[in-house]
Amino acid sequence: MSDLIINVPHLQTFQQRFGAFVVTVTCWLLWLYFLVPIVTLSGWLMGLRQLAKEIRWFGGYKSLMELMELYGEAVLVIVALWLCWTLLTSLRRSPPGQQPPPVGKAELCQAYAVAPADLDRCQNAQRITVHFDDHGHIVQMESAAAADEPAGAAVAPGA
Amino acid sequence: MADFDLLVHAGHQTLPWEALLDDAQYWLHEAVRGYNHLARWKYWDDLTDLAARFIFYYPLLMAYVWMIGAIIYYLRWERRNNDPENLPALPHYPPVSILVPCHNEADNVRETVEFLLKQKYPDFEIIAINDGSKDNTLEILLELADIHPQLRVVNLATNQGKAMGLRTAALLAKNEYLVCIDGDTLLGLEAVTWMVRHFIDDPKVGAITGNPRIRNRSTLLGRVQVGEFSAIVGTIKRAQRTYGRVFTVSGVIAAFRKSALHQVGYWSNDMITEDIDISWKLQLAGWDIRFEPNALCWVLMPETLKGLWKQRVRWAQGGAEVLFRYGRDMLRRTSLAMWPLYLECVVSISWSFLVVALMLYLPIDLFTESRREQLADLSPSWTSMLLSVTCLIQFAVSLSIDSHYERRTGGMSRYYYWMIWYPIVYWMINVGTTVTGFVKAMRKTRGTRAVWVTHDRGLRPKR
Repeated sequence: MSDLIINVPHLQTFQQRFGAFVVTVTCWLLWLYFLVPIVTLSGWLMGLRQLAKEIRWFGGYKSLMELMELYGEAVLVIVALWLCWTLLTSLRRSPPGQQPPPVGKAELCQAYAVAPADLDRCQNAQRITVHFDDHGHIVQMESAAAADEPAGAAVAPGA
Repeated sequence: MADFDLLVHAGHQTLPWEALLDDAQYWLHEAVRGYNHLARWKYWDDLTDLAARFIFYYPLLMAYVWMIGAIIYYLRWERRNNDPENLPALPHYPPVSILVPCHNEADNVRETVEFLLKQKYPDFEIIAINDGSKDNTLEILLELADIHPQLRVVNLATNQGKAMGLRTAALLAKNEYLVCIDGDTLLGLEAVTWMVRHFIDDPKVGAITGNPRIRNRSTLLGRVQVGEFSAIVGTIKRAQRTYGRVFTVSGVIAAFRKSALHQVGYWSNDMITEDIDISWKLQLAGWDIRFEPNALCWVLMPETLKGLWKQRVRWAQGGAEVLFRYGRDMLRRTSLAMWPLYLECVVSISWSFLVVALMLYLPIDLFTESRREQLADLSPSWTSMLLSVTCLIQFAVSLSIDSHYERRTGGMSRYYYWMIWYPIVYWMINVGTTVTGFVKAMRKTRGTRAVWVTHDRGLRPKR
């Protein structure tokens, strides 16, 4: 039995490996680009006053605070809605009832338009061949319990 | 009429480059003219501003919705039950039928069946369905059946598609509980026990979806998908379970109560993704669907862009088909609980269309007066910073929740490095597949039988 994880990067060509490396590095650089404001802000908050111009370029400290307030409120509303919903569903949960009865053979035969005897035989067979018409209805089921037993065949009643 | 049209009308087979260039210039000019005309409309600025805000804030909002829902799921159900090997004790162990539909699976089915035979469950049969394979899948299955009496082989004389294969196997299965996996999937040894407990606990449960893990992790795409299945798929499944309705069971690992399937008429053979369809049918009929993260299965995923594109277009088309088919059912009061799922799907599709519109609009906009402003918008800002931070937080939260299931395979933390690729390029692929899938679903003739789609299964050493 093979291992669960298949990790064989050496099966890629050099171009594929190099391409993946370039794409990943580019994406990380792009991320870092988007994260420049957080680095600038951290520096400014730690006393690097010369970064004030950059802070203004990003929109200013005040606008960040307003945005953070808005974000905080939105997240709080989402949390509150989730918690209310969770509480509501817990309270509404009814005790488990009776297990539904399993599907009977008669119901199966009716749904699939097959004869009960055929279904019985095929449900107990190890090898079954099923034939269909153009509309996907079963027209014939052949069965054999094991490789050395003769096959039984039956035509579905609806066929 | 554009030069291109004139040339085509004149019967030219090949177009000179000059004509193509002229044509491009003509259309660009027309587009800019149309844009300028639209831009004079007094509500245009408000409308574009609204659309831009929606494009930007919708993923942000949904990231928090999924993340918080997943954390609640973790705290409520998963925290004490996140070791697949620590099997729950069931009051009884009802017999189970494991269904494995196969189409041209000669390379994989032996491993799949041999793995299934090691399942830590006392009473189960395996039904492998050979659906008109053109390779030697049937011969391998028959050979295995000779050795293992637990394996039954159902041979469909002609190719019928996965849904028909599952329908036929459901008919021939001896048991009430059916576990369905794909022919190239390795089912976790403890998965059946974890899934069956839900059926025993609650009679309203009609289906359980498991936790697929990616096997092939050789390429960038494979590694990104490992992260995607945890950070996106796993988080959404958890959040949806917290809500109480699930958009879809995973086609590669799902368990069903046969009486529930019987009530809804089994799998539809005309839906491109039978798993999304059956999930909606069951829930609209009042059945519950559960998510069981301890029910692991190991799957092969595409590792080429072409393979990934085809797979995702198929998924997107399946989602859109469900929206069309069950749109009318949404009007019933009893479908109230499905409305948020339906709405989320509609909004996500709209978001993708808007992103495409924006991508078309941006180059035109660069030719207008606001060009400098547009370029300024691409510079980092507080908003883009918060979006990036949110993304990183979501990955961190979801990978740490999901890492319990990768303990035996080396953990998840290293995939954080690869996940960075996801929101930048992968979202763009998803936008493209969503739009393409939606258009395909619109153009599809109702009742057309779904057929097997064999996808790329990644890099594998030759045997």
